Amino acid sequence: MINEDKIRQVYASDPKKGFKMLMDKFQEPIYYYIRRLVVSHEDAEDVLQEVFIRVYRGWEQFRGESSLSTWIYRIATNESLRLLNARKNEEAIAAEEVQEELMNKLKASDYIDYENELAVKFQEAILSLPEKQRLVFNLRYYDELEYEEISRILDSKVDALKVNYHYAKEKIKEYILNR
Amino acid sequence: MDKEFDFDRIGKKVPYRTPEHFFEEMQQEVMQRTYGAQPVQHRPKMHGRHRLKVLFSATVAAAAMLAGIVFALSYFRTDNAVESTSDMLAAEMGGSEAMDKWIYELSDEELEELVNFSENDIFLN
Repeated sequence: MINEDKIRQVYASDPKKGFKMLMDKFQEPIYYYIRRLVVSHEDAEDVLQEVFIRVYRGWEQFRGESSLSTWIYRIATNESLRLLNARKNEEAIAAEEVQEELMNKLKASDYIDYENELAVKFQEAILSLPEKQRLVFNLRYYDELEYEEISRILDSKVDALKVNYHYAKEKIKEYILNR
Repeated sequence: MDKEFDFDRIGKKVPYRTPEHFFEEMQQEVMQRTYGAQPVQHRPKMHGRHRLKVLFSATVAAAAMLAGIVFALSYFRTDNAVESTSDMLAAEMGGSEAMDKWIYELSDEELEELVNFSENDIFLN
């Protein structure tokens, strides 16, 4: 299991090798985090590459004030939202329409296992949440991050995150039971 | 549908899938865009004396090109813009160091191309 200290150590003496270790460790969790936000594989791929390129460019400025994980998740969050907001601005559509687009992508997209109906419905329910709740829910439920770390990633207070998470779960339950 | 929804039932499963070899290819793409790494397919690298020979030929070819350019510029220069001999020499020396560095950083394939170019150049041969 690659740990962050090891990555930093290797990065210091062999940046290329360190960067590869970093990608090995983070590529899957970050990809799926992004994918849960943007839905389409192609968009997730673009964002993921952008995330690692930003990590590469920003490495010298990264002073280790937060953990590597926090830093990378933060970049991934910002890049995913940048993609979604760009669509909103380009097409002059409201946030609700972006949500609807994501739902439509979920229903008709490549690289989705439609045989797992409950899993698809669950993602639908998550996509129906407001943005903040969706982010908190994904980070807490899937990535199993502590609230303190989520707070550093999303720049939100822990108490607010806990409330958001609680409401997210209630709304998801309601969505699945009533549709 | 059940009256109660149990999160434990669904667990952490997501319906999202990836194409085969996606992560491997993604890493290659990122490495290409960052460290400019060679792609996976193995290209035979030049070694030892052959590389030295190509490097020497490339240096000669590049130096000849540089000399040609300097000559052409000085030939077409007007009286007002004539520099002193020492200034021109300084410019050439600075240019040579930069040229050496540039050649050193060329890949094997780029070196071969440069040598091939110089071998076909009617002004150099």
